[in-house]
Amino acid sequence: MADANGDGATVEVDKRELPADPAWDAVAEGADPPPPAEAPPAEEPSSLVTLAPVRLAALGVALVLVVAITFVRLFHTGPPSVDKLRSRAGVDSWSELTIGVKDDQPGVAFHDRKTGIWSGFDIDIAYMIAEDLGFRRSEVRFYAIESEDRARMQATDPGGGRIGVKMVIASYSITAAREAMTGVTFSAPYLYTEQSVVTLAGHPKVSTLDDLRGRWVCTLSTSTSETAPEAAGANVVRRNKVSECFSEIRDHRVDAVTTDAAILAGYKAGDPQGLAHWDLGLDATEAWGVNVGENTALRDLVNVTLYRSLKDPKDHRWEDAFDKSLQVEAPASGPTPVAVAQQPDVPKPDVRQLPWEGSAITTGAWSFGRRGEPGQNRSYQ
Amino acid sequence: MTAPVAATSARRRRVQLNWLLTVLPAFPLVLLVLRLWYLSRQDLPTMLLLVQYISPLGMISALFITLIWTVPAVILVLRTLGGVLLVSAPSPADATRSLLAVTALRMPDWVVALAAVLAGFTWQLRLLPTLLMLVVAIIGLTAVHRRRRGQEAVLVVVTLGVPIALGLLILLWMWPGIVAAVSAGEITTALLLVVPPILGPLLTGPVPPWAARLATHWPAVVAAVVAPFVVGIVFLRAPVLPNSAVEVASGAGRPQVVRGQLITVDDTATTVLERDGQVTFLPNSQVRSKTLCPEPVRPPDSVVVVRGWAVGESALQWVAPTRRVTDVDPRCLGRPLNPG
Repeated sequence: MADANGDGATVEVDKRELPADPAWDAVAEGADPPPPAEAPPAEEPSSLVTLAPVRLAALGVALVLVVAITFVRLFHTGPPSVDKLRSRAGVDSWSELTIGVKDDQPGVAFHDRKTGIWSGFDIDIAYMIAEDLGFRRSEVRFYAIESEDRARMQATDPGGGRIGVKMVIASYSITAAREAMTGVTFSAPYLYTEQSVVTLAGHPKVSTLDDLRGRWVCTLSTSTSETAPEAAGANVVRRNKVSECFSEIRDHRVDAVTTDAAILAGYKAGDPQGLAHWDLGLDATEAWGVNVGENTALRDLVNVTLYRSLKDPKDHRWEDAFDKSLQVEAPASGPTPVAVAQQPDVPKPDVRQLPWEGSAITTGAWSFGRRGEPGQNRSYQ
Repeated sequence: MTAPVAATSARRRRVQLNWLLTVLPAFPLVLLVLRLWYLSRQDLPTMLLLVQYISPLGMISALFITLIWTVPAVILVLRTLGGVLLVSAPSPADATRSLLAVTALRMPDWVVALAAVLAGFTWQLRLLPTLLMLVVAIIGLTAVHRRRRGQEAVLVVVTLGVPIALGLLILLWMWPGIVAAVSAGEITTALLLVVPPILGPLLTGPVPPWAARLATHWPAVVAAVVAPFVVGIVFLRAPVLPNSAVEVASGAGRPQVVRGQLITVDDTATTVLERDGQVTFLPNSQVRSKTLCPEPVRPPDSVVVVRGWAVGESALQWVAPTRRVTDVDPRCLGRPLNPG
């Protein structure tokens, strides 16, 4: 490539090939380019000449495309990848995953203090999310959380101390008012249920909330179930835990307990003879979501898991959790619906590649949690 | 009067070329040093530590693997643009005023052939239509440039027949990928698969003489100026040290995991460059275990697959064995191997 014959010597041209212009060969073999001179235009075959302007346009198109595609490839990175979301959410720096859950709602989230085992639908959803985030079951820490603390994400540890959690999965209904609060970011919904009411067996039939006008009705404080009985003229008693409401109804201090059917069905299933579960015929749907505080990257990761559970035909984790915890309660509640037996729709998360569709490496990261030790769903030590 | 002035300017150009050739080998060196500077987060002591321990061979390997595809790109584009200029310029003297044309003229055919083969193996599938476009353009342009009298029929076959037939074949073969790219909304992938086979037959001859320099010489100059930056950006993203996770425990406490890039291990300490650029010396007595973590792979930005071949994969990647990572070590996620 170097100008080896830069002394300007010309090289003899091979006459046998009758080249179009001997000057080319001289330059090709290292001679200096000749000085510009007026030369008659070369005689061109017609096909070459007529297409010349079209070729110029084609060359222009090619150059524009090269510039555009290079720019897009270098600077337009598109939606984030799951790895990027993990890094933004800070998941990689957590040695354990702390989750705020209810501890007194059989079928939804219940902590058996004798065995230390957590069980219920919310617990299984929590394990599903933790698994996709790469946490083994023994690395998931559940802490009891009261209804009023769900927005602040402050749970209680066994010693009674306050502890911040990374996410709240505690029968927390998605509402516009809650979403507008500081520090509340909901994932897509993971369960649809509705408000219903439980009375002691032998209570006259309750068909609507109007049947409870003037009666004492217990419900959870800061819950979506407060407004409807109040509007119907019932005397509302608010408690922080649903178990306190059931203590009151058993002591005949209140006439009924109203909240989401999925919560009440667990109590009904535990005492089928002593309690009656009534459908209120309300059309409002309670959509439960996961609160991740202000960690929007974590919300996207939770949505990826929910979307996977919804769309991946091989993923039965949601269905298994529903069958195990809520479907078994349905017979005890009779005609009163417990919850919608189908996973709510989840919009497609905006990530570069969905983990179960991708390469071996990414899929591997997502199957990590499945190696977790089975049956270790115990509470913190 | 004109001739001596022209000769002087030619000599000046040659001197400038000599300088360029002197500076060129320094470019990879600059890249390597910049990579270390980038890795050390602009901290000079950290950079000096890295210089002390990082093997130059390792860095050059990384540079080679990351940038091998650019070599054929430069050769083929130079030859195509130079070829267009050679056949379009009104006279040899006019064409050879450009270094581009001179380089294209002096470039041996076997170098072009080798570059095409190298590109065939190292370019992603979505760039192969572009490669074939460049190859047919080079063949056509070479035929036009070296044409002899009475060979017009051959010329028509080489400049129009072959490119059109090849373009149709490519479009036919790529059709499932084109449909998939359009339905997935990947416009760049669709353009890369569709446009080059159409443009191929149009790049095999001269452009109007007045536009020859404007359409070839100046884009090449701009590319030469921009290319080092593009190459730099590409190389700065390439890993040069292995990603590792080291489990450390002092006393009976719960083991902690330090993740980062392993610089060196000597008889007293294990030196790790953490992700935030901090260098940590871990006493060997506290190190419980170490593991190599898979590179956080940039997920492919395309989901399009043509007849079982992902458009983001090169033939070499397709053929070469890959390590299938089925499980991720918990230490790579920052958690101890055995919690407890």
